Amino acid sequence: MAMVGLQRAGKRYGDVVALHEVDLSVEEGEFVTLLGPSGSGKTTMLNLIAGMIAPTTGQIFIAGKDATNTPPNKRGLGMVFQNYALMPHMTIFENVAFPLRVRKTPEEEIKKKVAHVLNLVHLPQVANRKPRELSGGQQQRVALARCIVYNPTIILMDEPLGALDKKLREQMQLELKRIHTELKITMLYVTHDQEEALTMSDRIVLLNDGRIEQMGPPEEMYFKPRSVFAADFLGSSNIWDATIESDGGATIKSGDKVKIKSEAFAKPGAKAKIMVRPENINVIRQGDDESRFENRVSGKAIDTLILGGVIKHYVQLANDTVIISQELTRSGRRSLTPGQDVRLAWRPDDTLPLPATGKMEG
Amino acid sequence: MLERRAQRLAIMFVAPATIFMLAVFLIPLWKVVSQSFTTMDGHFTWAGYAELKTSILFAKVMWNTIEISLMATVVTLLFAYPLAYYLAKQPPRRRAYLMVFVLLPFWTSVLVKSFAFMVVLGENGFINQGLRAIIGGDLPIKLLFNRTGVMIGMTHYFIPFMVFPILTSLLAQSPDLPKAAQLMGSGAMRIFFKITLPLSMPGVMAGSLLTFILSLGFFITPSLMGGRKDMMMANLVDFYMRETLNWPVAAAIACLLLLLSLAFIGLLTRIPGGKSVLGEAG
Ligand SMILES: Nc1ncnc2c1ncn2[C@@H]1O[C@H](COP(=O)(O)OP(=O)(O)OP(=O)(O)O)[C@@H](O)[C@H]1O
Ligand SMILES: [Mg+2]
Repeated sequence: MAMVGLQRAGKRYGDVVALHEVDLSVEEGEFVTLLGPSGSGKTTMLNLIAGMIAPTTGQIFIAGKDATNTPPNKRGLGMVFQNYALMPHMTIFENVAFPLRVRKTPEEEIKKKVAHVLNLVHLPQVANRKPRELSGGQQQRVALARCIVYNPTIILMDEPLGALDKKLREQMQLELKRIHTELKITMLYVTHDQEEALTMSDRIVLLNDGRIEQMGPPEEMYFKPRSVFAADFLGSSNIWDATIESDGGATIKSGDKVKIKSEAFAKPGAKAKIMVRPENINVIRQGDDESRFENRVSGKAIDTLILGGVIKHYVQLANDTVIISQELTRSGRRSLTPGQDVRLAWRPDDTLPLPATGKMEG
Repeated sequence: MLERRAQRLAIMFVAPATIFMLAVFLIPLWKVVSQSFTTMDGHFTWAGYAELKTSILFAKVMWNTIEISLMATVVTLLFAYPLAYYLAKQPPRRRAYLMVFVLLPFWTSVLVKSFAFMVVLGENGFINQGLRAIIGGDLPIKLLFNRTGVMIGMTHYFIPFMVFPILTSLLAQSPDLPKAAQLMGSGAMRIFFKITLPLSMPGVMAGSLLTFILSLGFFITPSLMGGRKDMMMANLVDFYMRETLNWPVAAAIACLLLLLSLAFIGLLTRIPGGKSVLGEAG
């Protein structure tokens, strides 16, 4: 059963369309991420589901029932706010107990449940402290504990890790994933960080300018983007202007001819964009067998960047075309000397044609 | 080096106000204190205090003062809290505009207002004339020269003093808190009593104490709008100074009034949230 459903739900503020009419269905136990640039409508969508704002069009379903006119306190949802929204005058215990007191849970049970969830978020020792006596990451975990303590069917999170530094953020991502798997809660997660979306989600909903650009599992979103926007937003990519040839190949901006994955829209003569992920482009070194890769180009090295675990090579092709190749860092693997001739190769299957504007249907 | 510079800077900023306060407050205050121990012909005396110790009039007026001040504080709070709450919910521009109306009582002096109130509230004032026209008969409601009159006059003056600290503490609350509570299933009543109100207590305490301390020394309103039974300590000072010409007693009352106010300020530091009034972060 769909836990959350949006049916042609949209929101406008006067002339501003915050969210065009969108359809979305989130299944029980799913971890769905709303991803998109600033102003793309992520918070709007979350607030529509939470009931903080009313849709101008369409309907909202929660656990199969029409909840369009249900007030927020009757929706049975949980939400983790970006700034935690812990009650500053209450102890951690009272904060976590708050939703249980609303539900008139007996005191004995409250004690048990609060202790249980504080354990779950690895903070059993802070019950008597005030929120301001905790670090940002700890407050974040308390906010999560307060949310899961009353077993809401769905948890909404609006950039919950936005205020944390990188390391803590990664730690909390794992924690969230663990809790999600352990408790099998349906989670709807907002972020504008594509890496976070890729690591955490069962499914990513990519928003662009108040519309759903594309949705699907992370691998699909990453390897089969259906628009230049999606390809560009998720991960880095090589995107070139190209013309589709009659034999089903394409000529890219540099003048090189490449074989591409076949797509219905890519008819001979059509203007298109060609996208290849940098990690699919191989630098051919002495002794490498390049015949495995049908697409091959030559250029001159511009620069090599070592980014911890990976190396990025920037290579100049003809006609001001730059191509980026990404490899894993290995000791002994030499960087390219700027100006050096380089041969690069990749497979046709990794060569995706994309419509020059808009997105592919289907 | 740096520390010395900071010190010099501090002196530069604080000195003018300090000198001013010294001249117009501390020196006169010292005069009052010494006056309370000095007879009219210049000898030391305890007589002023001794007289107050046994004076039934003084005891009565003192309790009167505390009672009126408490009442005025409570009544002001009852009016001011909803006002502050409403203001806090308004968009900033509208709030700024409405604030001008909250400040209206400051536009005229207490004295002028007291006379204006007499015109409005008197037996032949607007209100009673209006009532007579509607209901007929000849039963004026007594709104002046009694406790009601004092309350109307004082509350009117105090409301802004109460509204601002409360408004400040309401605006300091994150708007996400009630939202979060609502999502957790809480109704509006619980949100108000468990979150909004407790978090606004520093403002309520600050406003109440300010009101209470201000009203302890009130003079014009009780003397113009109150009855014989509404005499407050400041009025008693006036009485001893001008009617009986007993200056030591007048000064002694003034000193006791000051001590009373100081005691309440001291109390303030001991209650939760009270310190915020004195400029210490809660
Ligand atoms: N109350 C409002 N009044 C007018 N316009 C609004 C209002 N709230 C949002 N918008 C507009 O709706 C659009 C979507 O806003 P939304 O807050 O959903 O973006 P977002 O994807 O959450 O962005 P961010 O990553 O910056 O939080 C924006 O263009 C925003 O300016
Ligand atoms: Mg947002």
